[in-house]
Amino acid sequence: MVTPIDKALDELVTKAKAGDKAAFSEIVRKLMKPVVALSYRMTREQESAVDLAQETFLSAWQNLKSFRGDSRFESWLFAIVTNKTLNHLRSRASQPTDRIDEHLPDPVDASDPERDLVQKQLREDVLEFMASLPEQQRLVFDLRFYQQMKFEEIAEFTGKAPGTVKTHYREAVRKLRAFATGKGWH
Amino acid sequence: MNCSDCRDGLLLHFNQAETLPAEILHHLQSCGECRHLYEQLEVIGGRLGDNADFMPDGLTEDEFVAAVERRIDRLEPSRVTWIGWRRYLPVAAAILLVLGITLVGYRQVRIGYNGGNAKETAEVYDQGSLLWALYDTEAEEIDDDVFDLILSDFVTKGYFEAGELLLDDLTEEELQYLEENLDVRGIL
Repeated sequence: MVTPIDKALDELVTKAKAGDKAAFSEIVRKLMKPVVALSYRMTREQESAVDLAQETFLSAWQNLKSFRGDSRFESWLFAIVTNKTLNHLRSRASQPTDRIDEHLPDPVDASDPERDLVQKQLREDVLEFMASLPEQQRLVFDLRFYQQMKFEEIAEFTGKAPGTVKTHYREAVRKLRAFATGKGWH
Repeated sequence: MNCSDCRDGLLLHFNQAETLPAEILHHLQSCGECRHLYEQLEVIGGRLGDNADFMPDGLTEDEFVAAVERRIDRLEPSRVTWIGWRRYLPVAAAILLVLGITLVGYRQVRIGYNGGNAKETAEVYDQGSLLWALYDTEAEEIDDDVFDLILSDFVTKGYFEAGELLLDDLTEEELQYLEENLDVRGIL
């Protein structure tokens, strides 16, 4: 079913493909959150996540003509950010650096300290859980849970069989349940 | 449906309650343990937040969009102006200088290797050939095309003619001296 949001996005994509930069900026505005968040949950690095997300939109702009509309535009974008993020993680793994943000102090927002504290704790817990997953499980979990992608779509751009993707997801949720028990979430 | 299948299904449809198959829903009505798992997963799903909860601190939409626009603008080819070109002038001058020196040096080496003076070079090879007609006796240099023709002529036909001319020029006494004193076997 095509929702009004999908339709609006499709129209923006059509305009952007014709070279309309304002339309593309609107696409960036609509989709920046899932793209940045995906990269952040994968890397646990705020600065890298923003940079990778910007590179993703830059690549999308450069390769917009190659998007034929066979899949959803968001899926195409997630494929780009996923590739960039995985490449980043692999290059980081080969370099003995420590840039994980949990070691950096977060800026304090004085407007609502209590809410910020809860949100910060939630973010740290989820990032900790995500980091505990193997790369493929982490990716599949993120695409399914946060990006609401179908198993078939995930299978398509990860190059895995749908059955394998489902197994990864099931395993990730099983580990999540154990993690949540340890944290006393329920 | 048994409990094992139901739990697998619950894990697979985690946070997607609306997509739960009817047989799982039916099983949940009759199985307290599976229902407990279902409720547990609902609570966990609610704790995970959404994409908005994972925006880096201090990052605003406007800043992000502006940053992407700047990066796209940097991709666009800029208009070339005289002021823009001027910064490349020293590099261009250096390249031209190096090329000039290389070409002059190359030409000197080629002509010098074959006798230094173009006129002498042509005379040595074959005075009677067509090449001589091509050669301007007033010039101090020959160009590369003429040089190549001279070389080619010498290597093939001209070379042998030069050899014959050398023997023809010897006097009877010189030939006799050679016959008596030239130790061909020794040379070989």
